Amino acid sequence: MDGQLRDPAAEPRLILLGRSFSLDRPVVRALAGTTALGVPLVALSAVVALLLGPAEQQVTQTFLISLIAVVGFQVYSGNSGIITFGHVGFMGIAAYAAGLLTVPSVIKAQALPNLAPFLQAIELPLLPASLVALVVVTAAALLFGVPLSRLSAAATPIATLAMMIITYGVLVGAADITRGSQTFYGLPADVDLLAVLVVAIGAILVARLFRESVPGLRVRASREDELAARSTGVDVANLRLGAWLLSAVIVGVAGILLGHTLTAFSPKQFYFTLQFALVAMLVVGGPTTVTGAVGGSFAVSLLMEVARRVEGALHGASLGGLEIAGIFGLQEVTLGVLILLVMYRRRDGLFGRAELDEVVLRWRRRRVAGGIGGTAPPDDPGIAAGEAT
Amino acid sequence: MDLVVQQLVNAISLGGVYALLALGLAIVFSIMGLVNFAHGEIMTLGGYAMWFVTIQFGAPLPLVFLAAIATAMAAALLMERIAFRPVRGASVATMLLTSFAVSVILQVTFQNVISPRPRGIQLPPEMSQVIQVLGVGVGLIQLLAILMVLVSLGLLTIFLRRTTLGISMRAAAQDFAVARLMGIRADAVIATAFAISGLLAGVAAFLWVAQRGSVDPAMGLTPVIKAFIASVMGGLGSLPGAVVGGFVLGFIEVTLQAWLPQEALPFKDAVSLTIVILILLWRPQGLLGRATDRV
Repeated sequence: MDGQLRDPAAEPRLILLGRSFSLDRPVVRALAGTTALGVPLVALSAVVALLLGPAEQQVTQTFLISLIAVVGFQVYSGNSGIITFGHVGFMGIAAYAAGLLTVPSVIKAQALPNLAPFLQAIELPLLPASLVALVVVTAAALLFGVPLSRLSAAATPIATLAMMIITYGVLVGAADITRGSQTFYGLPADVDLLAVLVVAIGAILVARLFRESVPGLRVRASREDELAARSTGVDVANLRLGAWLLSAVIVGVAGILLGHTLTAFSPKQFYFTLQFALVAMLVVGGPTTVTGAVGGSFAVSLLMEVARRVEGALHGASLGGLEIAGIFGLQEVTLGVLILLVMYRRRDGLFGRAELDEVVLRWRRRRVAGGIGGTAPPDDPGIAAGEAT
Repeated sequence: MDLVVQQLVNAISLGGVYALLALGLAIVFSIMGLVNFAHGEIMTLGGYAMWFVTIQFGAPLPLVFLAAIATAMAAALLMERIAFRPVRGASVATMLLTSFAVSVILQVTFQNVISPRPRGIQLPPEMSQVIQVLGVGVGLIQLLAILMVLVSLGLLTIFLRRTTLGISMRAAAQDFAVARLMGIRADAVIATAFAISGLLAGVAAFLWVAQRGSVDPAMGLTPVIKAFIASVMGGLGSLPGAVVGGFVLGFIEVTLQAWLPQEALPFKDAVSLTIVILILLWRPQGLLGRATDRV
């Protein structure tokens, strides 16, 4: 009976390899969303790799690493609605932990004479080193996450500031294994554009799978109304902790990749400036969706690159006989103004509250419904549960 | 014995500055839910005002003090009017991000308009003398700091308890919507909250600069982050909690500075903040905070 009343075209289906999948299934939605975001990224990387020079490739690689970090950041902050300032600490911990294992022993003997002998001798390829580093990051995330998850949503951002300062302080203080505030160097440049692209698409898929999963939906419910979520039996503190751990691991991966792209860095690399850029990327695109995280990283990276070049061009230039001694912080001001504009004009970010695949889906449904009877069918259950304001 | 008293004086004077800043943050947060990241830049502006009047006019100390608090109050009021009014009533995250952006924009502005390097301020040499109190040598600046903190807290308490505006502010802090229904004017209460937080930041700027002798674009950042953390430790939104949190943090820092072994000193901030996080593990709502709504 029901089959006759419903128009088959109105039910969203994905036809792939001769089989048809319902787009109401979370895994299918996650895959569709990842494809929708992945294709432009692959196209961009292909164009850059084939047509542009090494400088542009470097910029693209850094952009994709930021994207991984922001997607990881979104898993916690976007779904829970709690902005944090500590995620950059996980990037730092991961970069140093992996670096300690991948830097050749010869360089370590020279740069870190006080290092424990077993760390001195060890020399691992990138992949096993990364796995060890991610275990370290998970442990750190658990240590910070247990007290943080019990705080109120307003107090958490401030407490994560404490976390950022603690990790920075420890990285600077533990000079025997990190060279303190001096540059930590000698990491092998084992990361290329292709590897970063693959990891980025993987990160998007993981973030989407989490977003569509039951725990993900519950965390999103706590974002919309914490009391209501708790009253329906959602264990907000522990679910936030879970999102926090997953988020830390993805951000840690970005840290490892950044470390092995830069090959030399100091703790300052993983402090306010980078965290500020990550926050801007997430917020400008729209924190509630992975699409927003990806789009925001692209928009902000592009703008930062433009600002960097303008800053370089202005340096020492003269304007009507008046020499400009150099402008400080054009990038920071650009980010600041961008955040203000978004907060004043478009609080949900440039890409709003719907994922790319959801936008396409709604548009198709409206067209189908408009062609038949004019009444739009209700949004699918996933969106209704997660996005109600 | 001398050492203990001296460290105690240091702890109270440092904690007092944190308490003033935390109290300013807490007043604004309790009334409009804004975690004001740009509070540090209000303090920095107070510091630059001190530099300006000493360099330009060689102003005497009381005038330097007045310049600091007047500038900080004006800065706080302007900030509310220009930057925060468009996001009034928005979510905590929206307001936090707005203030975060304002803070960065102001810092870069200071770097470009004034100087990225610290500006030195010459205060009268009598300020740095050590005087004998009950047979113990104590710095005059520290004593002045304790005195100013006590006077500020006392005056604020009288204002909040005895005046109509003060009582309306406490009502608004309890429940802003209901307070408005009772005829309390939202604009007046919020402007007063910012004026008070600016005033306290001005006093803090004076004490901070007087002890360090210079002002730079990022001066406000560190003390205000500490004050933030202090206010969370005390109980976010609780005014007595902010004061208690500030003093506790000052006490922890001075104790660590005095008793940590030399090789552990680089970890001072990390250790003190870890202690704060442990306190929050024990009391997530803060030392004096109310437990959150239960289901």
